[in-house]
Amino acid sequence: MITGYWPYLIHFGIAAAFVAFLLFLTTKIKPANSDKAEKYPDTFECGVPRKGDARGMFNVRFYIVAVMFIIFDVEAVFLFPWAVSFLDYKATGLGLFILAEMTVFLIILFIGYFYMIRKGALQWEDPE
Amino acid sequence: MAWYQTEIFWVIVKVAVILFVILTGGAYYTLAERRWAAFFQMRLGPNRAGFWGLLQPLADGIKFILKMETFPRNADLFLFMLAPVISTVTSLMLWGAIPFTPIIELPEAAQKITGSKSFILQVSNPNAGVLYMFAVSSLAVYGILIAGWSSNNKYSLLASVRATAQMISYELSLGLSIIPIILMTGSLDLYTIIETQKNSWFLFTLPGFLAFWIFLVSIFAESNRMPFDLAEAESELIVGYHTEYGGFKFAFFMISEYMNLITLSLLAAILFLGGWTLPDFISSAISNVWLQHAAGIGLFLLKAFFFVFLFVWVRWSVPRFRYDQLMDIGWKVMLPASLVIVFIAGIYVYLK
Amino acid sequence: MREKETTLYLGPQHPGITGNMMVKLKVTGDTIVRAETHVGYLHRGFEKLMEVRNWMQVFPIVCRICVPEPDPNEENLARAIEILEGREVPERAQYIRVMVLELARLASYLLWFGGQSGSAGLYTMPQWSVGDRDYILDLFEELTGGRVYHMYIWAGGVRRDLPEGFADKVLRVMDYLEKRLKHYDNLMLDNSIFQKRAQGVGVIDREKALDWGIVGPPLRGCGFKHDVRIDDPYLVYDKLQFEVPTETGCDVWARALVRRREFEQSISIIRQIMEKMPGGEFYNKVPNPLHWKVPAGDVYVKTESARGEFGYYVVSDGSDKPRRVHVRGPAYVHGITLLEHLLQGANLADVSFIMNSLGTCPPEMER
Repeated sequence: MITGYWPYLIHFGIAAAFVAFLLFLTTKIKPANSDKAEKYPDTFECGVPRKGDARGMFNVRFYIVAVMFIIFDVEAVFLFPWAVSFLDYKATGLGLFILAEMTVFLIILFIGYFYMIRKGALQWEDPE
Repeated sequence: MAWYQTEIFWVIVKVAVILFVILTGGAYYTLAERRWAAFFQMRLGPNRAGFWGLLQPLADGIKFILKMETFPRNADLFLFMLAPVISTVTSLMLWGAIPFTPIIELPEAAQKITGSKSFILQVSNPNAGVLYMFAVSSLAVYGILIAGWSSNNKYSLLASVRATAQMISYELSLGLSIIPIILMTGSLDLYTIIETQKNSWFLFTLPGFLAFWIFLVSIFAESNRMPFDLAEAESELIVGYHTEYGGFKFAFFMISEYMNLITLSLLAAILFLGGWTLPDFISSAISNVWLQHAAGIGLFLLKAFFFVFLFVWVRWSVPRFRYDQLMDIGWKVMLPASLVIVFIAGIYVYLK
Repeated sequence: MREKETTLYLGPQHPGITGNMMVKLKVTGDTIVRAETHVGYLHRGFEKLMEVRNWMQVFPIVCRICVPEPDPNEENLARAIEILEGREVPERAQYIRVMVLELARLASYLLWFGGQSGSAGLYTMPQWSVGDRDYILDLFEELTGGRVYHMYIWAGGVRRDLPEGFADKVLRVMDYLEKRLKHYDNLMLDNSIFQKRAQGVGVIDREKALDWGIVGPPLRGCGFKHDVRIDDPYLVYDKLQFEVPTETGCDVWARALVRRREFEQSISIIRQIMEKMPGGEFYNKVPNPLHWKVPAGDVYVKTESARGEFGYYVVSDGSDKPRRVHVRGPAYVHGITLLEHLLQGANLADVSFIMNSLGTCPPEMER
């Protein structure tokens, strides 16, 4: 059994090459469309001529979600090493201590979570 | 040592086999979905290409290849081409960490050829296999986000931003729902997780049972599947982030979605339903080692198949959530619930 | 900081929009700030076309005004002519007309079942209900020769008598639909996600509902017992037993429940008709259509369609062509002003959901 990460490099190489090859193949096989308007049509706007650019300022709530994700994901990552080593600590008799520590951590997490809810960060409807 | 006895050669062989299986599986999942959907909707579904429509994926593939290629005029062409590649490559990469078989002791003759004593259909088994799965699967967000951004279409952009917010929200509860299992196993590697469940699946332990439901809901949301398929909500955003895609680029998105579903089904079977392990009373009844392996692997695939069917079953039975409801469920129900379950699991493991 | 508003065009080519119309939305994120409806993609000038055709030639035009339920149009025009001419309608023809109208209502509600749940993402329901609608269309085909547009109701009666054994077929379809209704409940109305989606969405202001001129299920969903069949009975509706269900929620869910309960009422009406159907003539002979002159005068007739009160104002100057036909469809009020109003502050996901609950029908708005 291999336990290293190098096989994934090979896996990635083969997968990427396969996908790139298929994309290349389609450009060779597909019918040629020399008409420029046909090859580069306007973006679909439900049949209305496109106006302006789609990329613009976006609703700030999506960014708040991203920020909250980063906060909680980093904290969730802290839980992983704790979970892995919990059984070892339990074997050495330190189980209760480790459990209490994680309880404190979770409580702090919950305090932050409730603060977030109180602040209305999760309020999806417009307050107005 | 001959060239065919090296590790690299066997890695390449395994990768080739795995890629072939996953691509075929993804393609046939599309057929299965359509047939099952037709069954739920009291119609026939695709049944013309080959017996029972079995050649339909092939016909679809040919059609996709022969489609004329179009690029939106104001799109970012490089990113436009890159997005389906990212989606597909990440979902192809996911199968690298899944142990499809237990370690099989090879007979004498085979040992001489392969040069190794045992065989396992798994590209590699790193000691953080679970983390590898989550890391790679969260890369899939980029495919969707880049697709929406590069096509410069308002619906696509909105859909991709939605999908991104949705996927990262549910990734939290997905990650947290694994922690009870890691607590009980004390390891992040998938092989050990499976072996620990030999006589009792994690589903039948208290924290595992609670975490299973969080996990189940989260994988539906992770894979943008009904009732959480807001990224492809037809009645609001046309078809979402791949509105501008056609031909094989669209096929890549579609097949990667189905490959992800298969991967998540396998993962659910591994994490909660014991993978290919057979309980002692069954394995002692089967004397032949090879029969044991076959029964185990068959059961494993059967468990995964249940989830594969569940995805389709749920999709055609429920309407989709509204976006604010979706975020409410993710942040106000799933996240605190999964944190509480982590706490319960800690106490459970401590008391055991 | 003020967020930038994005303009989204829903339609004319959009899978969530019923028919060809456009809703121009100003959105921030996915909350709608302002909505504007743009119609005109389907304008065929029905009202003008009627003015240059014989009275008889008008009948094939009016049924095109609403695709899912063409019969109230025919009934309206036929009744207007009958009132202007003072023409009697045989009793059997009246019963047959009520049967056709109720069958059309059922067909329209079946289409609504599909549209409402399809816009919420429940794609099994459209396949079921549109499939079941075909049984009603089969009946129509046998009765009138056409599946969608029937041109069956004439001034003075109906075009054909019932075929042999037709009553049994109708009753069999009614039994089947009643059985299927339980399946619909299980799949759609008892689904907690659907309830969550529908409750509290698209709430109509109860005080203003009458001022705006809302009719049909949206008005009955606000608690007003308004139904032309009861208020101003036409044909033989006063001889039939049925209820007019009302709800008080004013939201999409209330409208859905009203339609669901009316569905049962329509089935019971059809059963009563099949019981009471008298014999006799089925039409009063009309004069030669080419020289058919209707006496001068004007009349407003109204019929309860599946979407609400459907009115025709017909003016005749005594010639062989109508002077003016004005169509007052419920979709005009529901689909333009009311929709614009309800969409303000709504979620983007609810646009087509609300549209379907109001029974928006673009060809009728632009008749």
